[in-house]
Amino acid sequence: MGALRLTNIHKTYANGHQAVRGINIEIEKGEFLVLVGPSGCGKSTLLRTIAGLEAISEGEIHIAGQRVDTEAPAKRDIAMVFQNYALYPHMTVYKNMAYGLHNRGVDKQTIDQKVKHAAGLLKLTDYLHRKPSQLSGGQRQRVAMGRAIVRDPQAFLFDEPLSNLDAKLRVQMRNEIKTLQRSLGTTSVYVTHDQTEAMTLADRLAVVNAGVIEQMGSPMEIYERPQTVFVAGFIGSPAMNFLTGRLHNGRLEIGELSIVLQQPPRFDGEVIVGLRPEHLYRQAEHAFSLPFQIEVLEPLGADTLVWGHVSGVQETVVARLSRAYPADAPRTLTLYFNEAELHLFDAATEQRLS
Amino acid sequence: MLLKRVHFSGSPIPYIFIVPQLLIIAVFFFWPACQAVYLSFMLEDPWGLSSTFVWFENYQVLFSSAEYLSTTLFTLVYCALVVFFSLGLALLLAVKANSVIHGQSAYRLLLTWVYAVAPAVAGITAYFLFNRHIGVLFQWITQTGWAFAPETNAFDASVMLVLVSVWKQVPVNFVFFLAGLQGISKSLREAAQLDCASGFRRFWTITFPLLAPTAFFLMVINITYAFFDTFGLIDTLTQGRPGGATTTMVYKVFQDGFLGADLGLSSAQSVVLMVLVLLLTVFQFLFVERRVHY
Ligand SMILES: Nc1ncnc2c1ncn2[C@@H]1O[C@H](COP(=O)(O)OP(=O)(O)OP(=O)(O)O)[C@@H](O)[C@H]1O
Ligand SMILES: [Mg+2]
Repeated sequence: MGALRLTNIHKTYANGHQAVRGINIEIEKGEFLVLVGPSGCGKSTLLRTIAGLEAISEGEIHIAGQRVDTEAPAKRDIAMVFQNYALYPHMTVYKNMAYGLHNRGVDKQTIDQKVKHAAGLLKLTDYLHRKPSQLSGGQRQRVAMGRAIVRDPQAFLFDEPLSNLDAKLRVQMRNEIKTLQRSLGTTSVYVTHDQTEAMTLADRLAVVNAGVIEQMGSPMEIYERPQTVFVAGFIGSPAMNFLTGRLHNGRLEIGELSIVLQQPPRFDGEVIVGLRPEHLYRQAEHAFSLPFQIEVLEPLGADTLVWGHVSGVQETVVARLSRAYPADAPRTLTLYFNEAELHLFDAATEQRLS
Repeated sequence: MLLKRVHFSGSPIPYIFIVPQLLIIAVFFFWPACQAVYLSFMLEDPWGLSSTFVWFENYQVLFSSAEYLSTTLFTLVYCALVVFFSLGLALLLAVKANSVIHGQSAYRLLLTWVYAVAPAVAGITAYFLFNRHIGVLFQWITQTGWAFAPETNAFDASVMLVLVSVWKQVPVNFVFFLAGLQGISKSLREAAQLDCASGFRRFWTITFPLLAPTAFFLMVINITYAFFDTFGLIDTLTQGRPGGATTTMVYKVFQDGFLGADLGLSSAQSVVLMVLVLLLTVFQFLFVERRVHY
């Protein structure tokens, strides 16, 4: 029995907008599930229905085997960390953390012990008597975490908790959240639209699009075998290249290119060919080659992004080449790729052909 | 904490900017205030032909007058009741209106527009509502079996006055409280919902403390209102009747000075009021501006 089970969740807002359209998830105890998807896809809505801040229109929510979807938020034994932290401005850090326990009738000594313990974990011991307005963004974030930890809930819910922090702090807090969650072993659901955050934090990743889950699996599974064109394009940066092509009797035609596949899917007709920028190489040891016309170079330091065109193909193609690429080097280039790293999708259904 | 003060060093420009304001204060406040203090030491004959300097005689008369004592007591009780009920009621209405999802603007409009009614007009409206022959409220009250007689019964008259004063002041408080409530972020309220199951308790531990600055500010505003701005209501509703039982300190200044033509005594009362305002201002600076801050 999972720690958190969502069965056929639907959420239709009062204005008729269907934000969540039939979501089923079962989360194991201690698992870290990340919901990722574009803006407006309904990930916050889903999280808020778990918390009880939005009522669901249809479906069932079970937390630790208990059906909770009609319970008040405070009765669901979950804790949530908000994007803007939502700390109580008139209370000290200590009181912010103690408030939830106090309202649950926990005795003063236990509260004191739990708050001090959490403050120790989060390096907040010196700030317990400050008000939130006297803290930095990162410290506020920690207090918000502390407020969740002291409650020792069945599940943590995070709604983009790091998006108000600067890039460096974000990476640091990301690691801290992960370490903390591991050591506490608390089931967590984490919403983000940042795919790096999603990939690094998740035990399991759910890619949400327009209110439904497109694919769920471990980050590497999703990266290596995206089931739909949407998932393939959403996970990975820069996004996967998509080229239109035709598959006929195991022969793949892309523009002027025609290659014979070793392990062709059983399919004839229009296909979308996906190829990640990092899977285009300059070394000739890879099986197939592409003539490539360079248009723009984007040096990233360790890598260079090379934007350009393949003859006979309309779509712009980007390749991620390791090391710097000299700006005065020739503007045409041959790039190589492998069959194993090609992703083929049915052009009509946008589903993976395997 | 942020340093709120801006420092100008040695430049006369800021002083030039505040000259118009200072002139207005001097002409309309300082000069009349000095006049009042001056007059409070004089005994003037009713025709204004002669006046004699009498030191503190006006104050002695004032403070030994049983009538002034009862006026003061009435004013304090009246003020406390008006402040308490108009703040309480406005807070309740604001909380309710803030949780209404559909047609919130209709509620807001309905609850706010009394604010636009001038005190004297409000007084006359109330006069009709409480009229013995045509008053709707009068009918309702008598139907409950209460022999309501504001013309002769001091308690009934006070009830009527408090009721009308509260009615007139609730909209102002409502607007401020509603604005205060809407300033509390949604996620803060949601965080509280996760931390505390009881809505009542949430209100007193989260919402109310966050509204405290607004409430303090409004309390000062309401005290000023109950003391000074209710003049129009009293003048149209009771004129201090029955037998001076609904006379506030400000209304008594008018009665003694303009109707009784005792300028010295009336001025002494004005000076007492000025001291009260001064104390209120000090109180505001000490508590509202300093303490209620996070
Ligand atoms: N109270 C509401 N009433 C009506 N529609 C709403 C309401 N809240 C959200 N929506 C709509 O529901 C959809 C999903 O919203 P949601 O907040 O879940 O998006 P999200 O995936 O969290 O996006 P983001 O990454 O921008 O936070 C959006 O199209 C939004 O416009
Ligand atoms: Mg969101």
